[in-house]
Amino acid sequence: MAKLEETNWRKCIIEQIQDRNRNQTRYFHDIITQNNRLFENANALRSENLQLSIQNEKLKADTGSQPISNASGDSKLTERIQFLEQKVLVQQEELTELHRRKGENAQQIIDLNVKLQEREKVLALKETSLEEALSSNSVLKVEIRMHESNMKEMENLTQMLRDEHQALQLAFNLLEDKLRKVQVTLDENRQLVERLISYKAKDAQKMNEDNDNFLNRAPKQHSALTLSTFGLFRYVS
Amino acid sequence: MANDREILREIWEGKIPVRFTLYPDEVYELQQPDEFYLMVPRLSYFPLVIDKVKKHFIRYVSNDKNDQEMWLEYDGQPVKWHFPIGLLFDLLVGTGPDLGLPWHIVVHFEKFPETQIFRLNSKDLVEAHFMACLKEADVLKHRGQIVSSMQKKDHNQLWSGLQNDKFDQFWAVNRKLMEVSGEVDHFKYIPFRIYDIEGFYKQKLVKPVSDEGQRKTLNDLLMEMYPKRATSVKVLTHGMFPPLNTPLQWMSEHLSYPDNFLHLCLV
Amino acid sequence: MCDNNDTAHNTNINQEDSGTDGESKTEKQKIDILLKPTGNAPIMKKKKWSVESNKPIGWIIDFMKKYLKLEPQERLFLYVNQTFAPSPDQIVKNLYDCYSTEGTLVLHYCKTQAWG
Repeated sequence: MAKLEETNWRKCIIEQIQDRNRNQTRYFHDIITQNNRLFENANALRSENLQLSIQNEKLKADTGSQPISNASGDSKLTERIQFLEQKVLVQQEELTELHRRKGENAQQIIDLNVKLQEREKVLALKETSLEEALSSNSVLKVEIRMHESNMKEMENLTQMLRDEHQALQLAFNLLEDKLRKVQVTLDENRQLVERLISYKAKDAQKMNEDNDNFLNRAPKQHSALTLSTFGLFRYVS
Repeated sequence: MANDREILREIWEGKIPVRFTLYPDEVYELQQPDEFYLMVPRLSYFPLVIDKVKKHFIRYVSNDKNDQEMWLEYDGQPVKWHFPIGLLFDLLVGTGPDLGLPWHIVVHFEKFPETQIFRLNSKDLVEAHFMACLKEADVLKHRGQIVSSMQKKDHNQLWSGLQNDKFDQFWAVNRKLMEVSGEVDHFKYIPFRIYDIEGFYKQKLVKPVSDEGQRKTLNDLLMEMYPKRATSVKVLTHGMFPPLNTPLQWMSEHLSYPDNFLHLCLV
Repeated sequence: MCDNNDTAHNTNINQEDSGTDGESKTEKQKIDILLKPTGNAPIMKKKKWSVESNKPIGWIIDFMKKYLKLEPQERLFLYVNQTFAPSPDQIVKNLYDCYSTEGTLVLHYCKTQAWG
């Protein structure tokens, strides 16, 4: 709100002053300068005129006191007059030419001022967009740095995981070998146990057969007591 | 800090069209003199800009009065040419839809009214008057410390910038007088003069901030100077009416005349 | 109301002490001034004066020149705060309101320019 108030009084003041300058200054400035220049020129011409008429009078006086050389004096006079008339004409032409050029120059000044203002506007725009670009540039740089550090962290993590994985893989391999060896041993074990059992079975069979054979040859002679004495038992495999 | 360059520039560019005529009774030649037109800067002083006027009219007055001093008259009264031109225009012509431009000023060479205006026939006298105003303004703003710390060449640059209508040259030095020093961001007191309808002026000590530290406005200044005034009173300066809520500190920095005073006309 | 630029030559300055009764109009109010010499300025016998508030500085200068019996072509400069010379049309009341100390306006005077 304070900003709005500020612009209000300032706006009021600047508008009044610009109006004042337009109405009191600009409308009159060119005409008055022009007027004064014409004045100066008129003064210059007037004083020249005065000098010329003085010279004229002098010449007239000179020719008056020497009637003999009238003819040549006259022609000299008219010659001089013509020469001076021409000079005045030339001066007048120069004056109008200068006025014309002055008008052209004034116009040129106005045009150049307009061009300058436009250029300044474009420049201001370019500067603001440059500022924006620079600021977004710095923002992006910050983001890039952030991403780079993130990436580094990720890489470290990955590397760590890879190393762990490798270690685990090795351990796994070792364990696999161990397992395999154990299994082989188990198999061998089983086989040996089976063989043992079969041997034992064969032994038992043989024993049984021997027992049977023994029993069959002398069945009455042997009493249970004998049996038990001899400790023969039926081997059951 | 006077940094609103647009305002400073527009104020500086103010010029008034003047039509000078010679007082008819003093015309000695048979031929009547032409009127002389001139654009005069509002911020300058008449004695600085009327050399051409003198040159134009002096050959129409009687020769033995050539060393008589020139003086100016408006509406039957001698022009107090120690006032800045813009102030004189505001006081004598004022404002309104028809200002009757160009401003008609009558030139005299006889009977200098020495009881009513000062003899400012040399530029040095005008410079002395200008510098005295500047010093007084600095006493009010900075206890005189800034102007006394300036070198002679700074004073000369101010005067020459004003005389030759060189805005940048003038403000290169004047901006130092518009600075606020140290911890405070305002002048001690505001240099101003308020003129009534007859041209008499009042000057008092007015601070640009209130005791509570708030920025004061033009309205506050008018209340302090004229506690019983009607609310409809307006103040004219530089040919315009600043709004009553314009801050005093800003006004002093930007709307002061080159002598660093605000010259305000009651309307 | 007196003409602000009046530099009349024949008004006597009042030597009474300031009688600021409050009821008098502002124009008749008296201001106390103290005049101090500086440089090679002649010393005034009476230094304290009471002046009507609407008198201009130019009037005071003229009065002092007569009092000090200076030649008309000699100049007299008055300074406020030993810093600036007030404009001759400035009135005493304005200077008093802005630059007085302890109820008095102190003015330094000199025959040559002291502070520019």
